[in-house]
Parts: sequence; C-alpha cells; structure tokens
Amino acid sequence: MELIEFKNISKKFGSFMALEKVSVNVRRHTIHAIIGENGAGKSTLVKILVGIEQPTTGQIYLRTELYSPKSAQDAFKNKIGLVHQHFQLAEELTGWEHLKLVVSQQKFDFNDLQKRTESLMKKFNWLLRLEDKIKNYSVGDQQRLEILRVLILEPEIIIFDEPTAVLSPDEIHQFLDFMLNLKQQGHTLILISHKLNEIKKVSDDVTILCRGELIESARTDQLSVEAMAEKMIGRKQKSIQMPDKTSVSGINSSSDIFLNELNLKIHKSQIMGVAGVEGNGQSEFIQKLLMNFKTLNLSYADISEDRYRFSIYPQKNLVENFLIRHRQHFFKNGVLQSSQINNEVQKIIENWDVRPMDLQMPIGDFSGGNQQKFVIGRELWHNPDVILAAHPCRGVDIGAQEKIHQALVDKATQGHSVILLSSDLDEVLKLSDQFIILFKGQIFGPYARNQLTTTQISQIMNGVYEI
Amino acid sequence: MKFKLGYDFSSVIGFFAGLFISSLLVFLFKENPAHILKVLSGSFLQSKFDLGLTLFYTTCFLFSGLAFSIPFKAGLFHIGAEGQIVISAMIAAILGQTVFKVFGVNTPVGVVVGVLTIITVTVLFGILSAHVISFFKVFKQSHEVVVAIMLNFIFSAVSTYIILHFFQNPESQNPESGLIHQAYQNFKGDFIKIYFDQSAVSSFLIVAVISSFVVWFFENKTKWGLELRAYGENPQAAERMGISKIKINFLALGLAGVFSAFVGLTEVLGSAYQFKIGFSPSYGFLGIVVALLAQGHPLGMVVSAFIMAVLHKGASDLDLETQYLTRDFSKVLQSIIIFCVAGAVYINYRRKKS
Repeated sequence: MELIEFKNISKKFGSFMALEKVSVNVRRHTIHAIIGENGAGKSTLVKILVGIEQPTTGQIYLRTELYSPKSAQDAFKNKIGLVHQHFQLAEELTGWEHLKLVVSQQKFDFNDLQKRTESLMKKFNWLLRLEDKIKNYSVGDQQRLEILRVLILEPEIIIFDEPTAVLSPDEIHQFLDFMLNLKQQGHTLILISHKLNEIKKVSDDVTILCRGELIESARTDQLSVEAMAEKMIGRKQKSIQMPDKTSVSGINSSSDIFLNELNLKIHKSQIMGVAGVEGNGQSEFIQKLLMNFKTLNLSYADISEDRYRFSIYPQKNLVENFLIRHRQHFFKNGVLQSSQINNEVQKIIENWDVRPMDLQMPIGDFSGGNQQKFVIGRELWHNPDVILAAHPCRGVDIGAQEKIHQALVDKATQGHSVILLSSDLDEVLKLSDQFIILFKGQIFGPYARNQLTTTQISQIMNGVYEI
Repeated sequence: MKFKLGYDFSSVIGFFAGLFISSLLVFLFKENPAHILKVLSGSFLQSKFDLGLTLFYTTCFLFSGLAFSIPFKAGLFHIGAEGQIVISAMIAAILGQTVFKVFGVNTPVGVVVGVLTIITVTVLFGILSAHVISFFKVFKQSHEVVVAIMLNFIFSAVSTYIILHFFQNPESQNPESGLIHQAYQNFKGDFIKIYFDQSAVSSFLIVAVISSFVVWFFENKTKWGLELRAYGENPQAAERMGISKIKINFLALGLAGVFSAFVGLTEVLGSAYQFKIGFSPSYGFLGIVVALLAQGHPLGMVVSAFIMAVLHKGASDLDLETQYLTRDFSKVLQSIIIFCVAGAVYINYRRKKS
C-alpha cells in the first residue's frame, strides 16, 4: 500500500529545473532509498516533502490524501521527521536541555518526555549521557541525539539525509542495523545517500535521480550496485589508471620530506592518505602541515577542507581568485606586471572543464562542483612540490571525482608528494600508497595500503585498538 | 579586460528615495519641495565664489570618502575619520605657527621646507591616530567601530583643550587658534583660488582628484591593494593564503589616516589658515555617504563627492531662501539620504546573499 505518492513533481529555481515531473511511490513499512549525484534533486525532493520548499507543479498524496505542506510544522503534524545531514544541535546545552528545547514548541509534558526518552533509549540499547554538554559527545552520539530528537515526536516517516557520511565503518554497520530495527517497529524510512553498498544492504526500494529527472524507481533486489552507479551518472564508471609502481625508479630516502611538527615523513612520488572520523584533529593536522611547508620553504598546493571558508573569494571573479593565490608570480615591486594571467586562467578552466567558461564571472555564482574544479586547477597550476588535498571530492559529481583522483595519482607519478585527507575511508584506501589514521589528535601509522583489515582500521578510528 | 557595467544602482535608488522622503517632509513644513530642490541644487551656480566653495567641500568629501572606502574594502567599518581630521587639523595649525622658527621664512627654500614639514608631520599624525584603532583591533580584539567612536570624542576634546589653553587666537573671542604664519598661507596665491575669486577652494582639489586615481591604481593594480580587498572579502581564506591580518589592518587604516589628514590640511593650509573649533560639518561621516553612493569606486567618488558638496552648499542657502526652514534642515536632509543610501545598499546586499 502506498504511503506517499509524489505525482509529477516539478521544481524550478529561476531558469534552473531542479526537478522535472518526478513521480515516486513510497510503500508503507519499507526503507526507500533516493540516490543521485550532487544536484540531481534529492534534497529538493525531500525539502518539498517536509514543507521547506513548495513544488512549482505537481502534488503529493500522503495516506491517499492530498498533502501540501507549507512549513516544517505541517510535516510534524503529519508525522514526518527529518534527520539532518549537518546536525542542528545546540552545542553548549546538555543533551537533556536540547531535547526540552525541541519539544517546548510541541505542547509536551516534561514527565512524558522523560518517559519517552528512556523507553526509546532502552529500545535501541543506547547509552547517551544526557547530562553532559553536547560538545563533549562523540560524533556517533551526536547523531543518536539528533535521531532521538526526531523520534520523541513519534513520526511515522523518518527521512535520513546522508546519515553515514560522518561515521566510521563500525558505526556505519551499527547504524544500518538500527535502520532495519526501525523498519521492523513500523516506521517507514526514506534514505538519501550516495553510498551504494549501504543502500544495497538495507533498502527495499530505490529511486534514482539524475539532473532532476527520474531515471528509475525499482525494487532494490532487481538492481546491482554497478547498474545503480551507471544509471546515477548516466554512463559507465571509468577506473583510475594506477601507475605501475615497480617501474617507478628513483625513490630514495634522501628525497623524503620530514615534517618536524608532525613527526612524519612523506615520500616523493607517493600518496599519503590521512583517514579518521571528522573532528579528530584534522584541522590542527592541516595547520601544522601548512606551517611545516612554509618553514621548509616548499611550494605547495592547498586544496582546503572547506572551500567557502579557506579557498575562494565569492564576489571576485576567476582571474582575481587566481591572482590572489599566485600573487608572487605576477607582481614586480608590488605592481601588477604580466598580461598572461587571463591566458593562464583560461588554460585552467579549459583543462578542468569549468562551466560556464566566463573568466569575469564571480566565483560565487558557479556551482560547487565547478568551484572545486577551479580551485584544484588553481592549486596545481604552479606544479607544487607537495600537494595537500583535503576532501578534494566533497560536493563534486562522480565525473569530476574521477578526474580529480586521476590528477592526484598523476601528480604522484610525476614525483610530487600528495597528502590526501578524507573522511571517506574508501577514497583513502583506493588511492594512497600508505596512510595514517587520526584519532583524538594522535597520529597512528603510517601503514602500508594492505597492512590492516577494515575492521582493524575501524577500531583504530574509534580508539579501541591497541598497538 | 573587457568592459562591463558592474555598477548596481541600489545606492542611486536610495539617494533618490532619500530626496523624495525629504521632499515630503518639506511639504509638511508648508514649503514647496520644488523650490527647495531648486535652492539646494542651484545655489552652487550663483557665482564663481559659490562654485569655489562647493569645490572646497568636494575636496574634503573626496578625501574623507577615500578615508572610509579603503578600510571598508578591507572589511573594516571606519567611522573614525572625524577624529583624525580634527587632530590633524590641529597639528597643522600648531605647526603653522611654530615651524617657521626652525626653518625661517626669508628664503623660498625655508618656506617650502616649512610647508612640506607641516604636510608630512600632519599626515604622520593622521596615520598614527588611525593606527590607534588598528592597534586595539589587532592586539586587544576590540571592535573598530567602538574604538573609533570613542576616539572621535577623545581627539575632539584633546584638540579643543590644547587650542584653547595654549594656542588661542588673542585677537578673537571665537574658540580658534591663531593664524598660521603669513609665509605659509601661500595657497592664497594659487591659480585655482584666484580663478574662483579667493573662494575656499585650493589646489588640494587637484591633489584629491589625483588621489582617487592613485587609489584606483592601488586597489586594482598593486599587490597590497589586491591583498587588502581579498582580506576584506574572506579574512580566513586570506590568512590561509599568507596575507597577514596585522599588515592589512595597519595598512588600510594607515591609508585612511593619510586621507583624513588631508582633509585637515585642506582646511588649515588651503582655506581657513587657522584651526577653528567645530570647523568640520562632520566631514568624516559625510565621507561614508560619498563612499557608499559610489560603491567604493575611487573614480565614482569624484562624482558623488561633488553631488554631496552641491547639496551641502545649497543647504546653507536654505535660511535665506525659505520662510520656515533653517539650515539645520540640511542635517535632517543629509541624515535621511545617508539612511536611505545605506539602507538600499544593505537590502541589496542581503538580497544578493540569499
């Protein structure tokens, strides 16, 4: 029986079609996955369901009745709950205060709240220290609190937006079990993700979106992971050309770079992976790394962990964004000299297929993926000795991802050192020659690529494993 | 580089909205708005002398506009120009009465050295007084607006005290310093002043216009200018790319101090030849409107400074030309325009952001 029916939903932002005539049915008591690349329209669809956005055309039927939410409150009333990808938690409060704050809008008895919270925690076997401040929680606990926040309002339908993005492999495993558990207890789940393996494991139905259009909506067991990926990006995935390591000559220890601050040695022609759950000292690691590059007077690429904060000036155009980063090359006695800048920037955007190809357009007006491509092209422009790539593929589609990965591998083959920091363990393991793991600011490793099993890595990432 | 009209018209719209609201107000006071507008906009054309006075205001507004716009591009809201103008005018007036003892005025060289000394030291004081703000901003984590507002009062009080107690003009009952030495009043002979019938305008007008070209060049074609603008837009990214917070703060406010000092010099060397307490009709604040109207474009500010100067000049004629309004009304009018321009720019900024 259909619980939610999207009928010909279209959504237009200006001249941009975010969704075009999408019709999806969500069955009761199932886990329904929605997958697609960035910008495919997944989030828009969910925002329409919870009333944050209104569709341009089309209707939603909820429990066979027409349903047109105008705000998040309407979604609450209709027993729809959304677990955000980025936790919306008040960090300075205790967990308990936070829950009170959440329900204070809902005419809720505090005793009742206590009872519900306790029974929920018992049901899932959670041990949350609700008296502690939220900022002292682990990421997993923060997520549990975020879920608890949604569950105490007793929703029938729960939407999870990229729930496993911040979790370690072990926690992901637990989380998938938890979702199955929720399903058994009579909830209907909508899961937004791009991790196809997880979807294959837990979901009953899967809906694939590509550029705002519905590609397919089918039972999960009818589709293989490869088929899903292919439909998601609209073509077959390319595999990365890995260099033949045996043929690379000239790796000698004298060309190693030793980083004092981190007590870490990086090798030329190699990719050093940095794994770890987010918030385990990554930013301090990056800071020390950059400081060390500066003291060693190395030329470096800085593909930063947060593009908006550290890499771009949104109102300035591509040329100026390029110029600020490479200012030492184009100024003589402090005055702008070269007329070559436009050509150099033109080369970058052609090379990296940045669209639209307009040098004078403010970078803030480009889409996230194009911004990232430009930033990477800019950072690699001066052929740096060392390359720091922090979450290089965050927010870019699979096509660009392949290109970025290939570029990093190529750079390493050409004799540069690459440091790849990512919270996506698969990415780290796929590309790096050796890797280290960050846990609570400590560095574990380095380990060779196949030295540890995924379970061992996961244990280190959670501080369980003793070496 | 291909030409692109990157100007957004929110400030112009705000300006006219301000004029419109003021006209409504005029209407309430039983005056004819059309008449008021005619007085306001026409008074500068009455004579060469009037035009000269308007150009004098233009000079001061342009300098103070630059003093606001440069820090603004570095992400600093600099409202301390007023204090810097007052303190530097005081310094110029004091030096004008004293340095001739050192350099002498009998030879042309002595006079030139004297004038250059006055200009240099005054500019240095302008820079230093602005760097007080930078110091508190960078090393004490204070907000620049709070520090600047307080400094405006402090500098004004200090200069009043010093002038009244040590340099009061013995031949006058007005609170003002004595005249600077005869020899240093050489702007009396400059061709602009002579052309405009000994009006307040002087060659500083040329300095101001050249300054706006220099500032344009600095902002767009030099490394420091680029760093300054980059820092203003995204301080975190700028610091990550090796742009020093300390350098930008001191550079931006230092330049603001230079231009504030030039307002003081325009007054003391170019027009009044003495320090009159309360000489500034808040040039420092009107500079904000000038800068916002032109959206910080140094060359656009030449135009917006002139527009504001025309209004300012016209306001002084309100007394004579109207029955119910006094010149104080011009302050009301200016406030409404400031409010509307700033409001329109801000609304547009928010709209773009979302």
